[in-house]
Amino acid sequence: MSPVILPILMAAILPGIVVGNTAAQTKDLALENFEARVNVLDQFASRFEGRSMHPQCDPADSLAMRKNLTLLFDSDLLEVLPVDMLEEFIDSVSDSGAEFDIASPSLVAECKARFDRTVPGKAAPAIDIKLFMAYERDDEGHERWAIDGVSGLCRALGVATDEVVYVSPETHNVNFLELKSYLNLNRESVFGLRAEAAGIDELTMLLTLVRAGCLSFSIVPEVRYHYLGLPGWIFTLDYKNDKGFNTGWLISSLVKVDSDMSKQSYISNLYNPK
Amino acid sequence: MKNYIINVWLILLLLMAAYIPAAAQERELTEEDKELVETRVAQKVREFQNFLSEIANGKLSSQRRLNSMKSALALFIGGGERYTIEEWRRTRSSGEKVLVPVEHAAPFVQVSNIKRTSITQSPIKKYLKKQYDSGNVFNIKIEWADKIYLTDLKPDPRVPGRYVCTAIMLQYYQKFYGDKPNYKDASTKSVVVYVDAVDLPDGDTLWDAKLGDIYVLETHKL
Repeated sequence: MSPVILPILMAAILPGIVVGNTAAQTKDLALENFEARVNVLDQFASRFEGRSMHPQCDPADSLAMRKNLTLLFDSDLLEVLPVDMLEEFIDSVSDSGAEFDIASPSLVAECKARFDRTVPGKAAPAIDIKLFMAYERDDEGHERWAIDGVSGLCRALGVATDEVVYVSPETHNVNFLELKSYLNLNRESVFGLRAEAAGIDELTMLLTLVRAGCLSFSIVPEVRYHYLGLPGWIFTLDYKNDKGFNTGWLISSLVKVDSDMSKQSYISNLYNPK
Repeated sequence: MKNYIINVWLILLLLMAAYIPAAAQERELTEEDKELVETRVAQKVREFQNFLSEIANGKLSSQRRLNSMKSALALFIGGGERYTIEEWRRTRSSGEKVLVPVEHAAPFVQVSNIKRTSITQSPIKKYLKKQYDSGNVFNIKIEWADKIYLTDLKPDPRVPGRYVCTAIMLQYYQKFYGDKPNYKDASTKSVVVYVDAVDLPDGDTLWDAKLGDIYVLETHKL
């Protein structure tokens, strides 16, 4: 595709989807927005793969597929995304007949999740943590969402993970009796008892606290999807809640990656932010 | 006499077996099945839409609105109440699967405001009661766009023979003071729908669709 075509295409699309439909709505306009909006991931997949089109795309138009893909981007991102990067992305999707496979481990849902603290006798504020949900398919083809990672739990609970607690080097001579003081009387510092190399698994921590009745799930106020199933690319989807023809689940960031290693590193940084 | 009782029991057992949901038999949906199921799902969603419009409509008699509330609740899984259902559990090491009773909360309705800064949620029964009460105070008109978007049916791994999908719908809400509109909005709602196949004695299949949790994707003033 000529490098000049996409900017012209974007110039034609953007005003229509961003400002052309933000006035007071009528029922008809609300319906038009509803039909244009990417309400659920299935609709995103369908448009991404060209099985359905944004209502503003005319299937007879030779550029319909490119326009359809461009309309899956949040207009806020389109305004800052280098045009050559957008073109390269659209080329790689169009040329490879790429799929957006919801039922695959390539899709990770980053959920801001709220839990109520149920400490007996104490009123404690709710905590917000991140749950990373991944799609799994077993040998029999049964699909499910599973919790693949947790982050922010220690911080939300005020757990001192960086602290090291010194236990007497002679306590082994009394069968480690000193642990009674550290484990029972100084509970706020118990994480400092672990060995230098021993990590903290926040997923296991969360499930244990829920199992023990100390935390109760409340809601998921926000979700962001990370898609790693397209060779050479990673993109995120956020729900854009607005009027107009550019709303719903849209591409909110795009990263070019050179190897699977980069994708592993992306996931690692996502699950374990510094 | 003894033989008579045994025969009656035998007939009863055969009849019960005939009416057991096709849960025990996993089945692939044909294109014809899919069309039937989608029609059934859309029909259930439209029934809910109509009942909700009636519940909120204070111009109708209380009896009719209460009947609509009862009928609307019957459209939901568990009758809109907390319920228990047998679900598959798999042992990771052996792969063995067993059915265990699992308790479920009543279907919830989650509502976000225009800016999504706060989210409220309530069980469906409480939500419908709130709509009923609002209809007693205000003149409320709830209408729906004809278009309902359905996601593809997927097998639900928890209950054999069960399928699940989501219906997306557009609601128009108007609140009047007297005859003057005081508030108007359009909101996009999604509802999970569970579909079970029930084998009938004559060999036909009845697709029983029940509604689950409802989420309001977004709301904009009209």
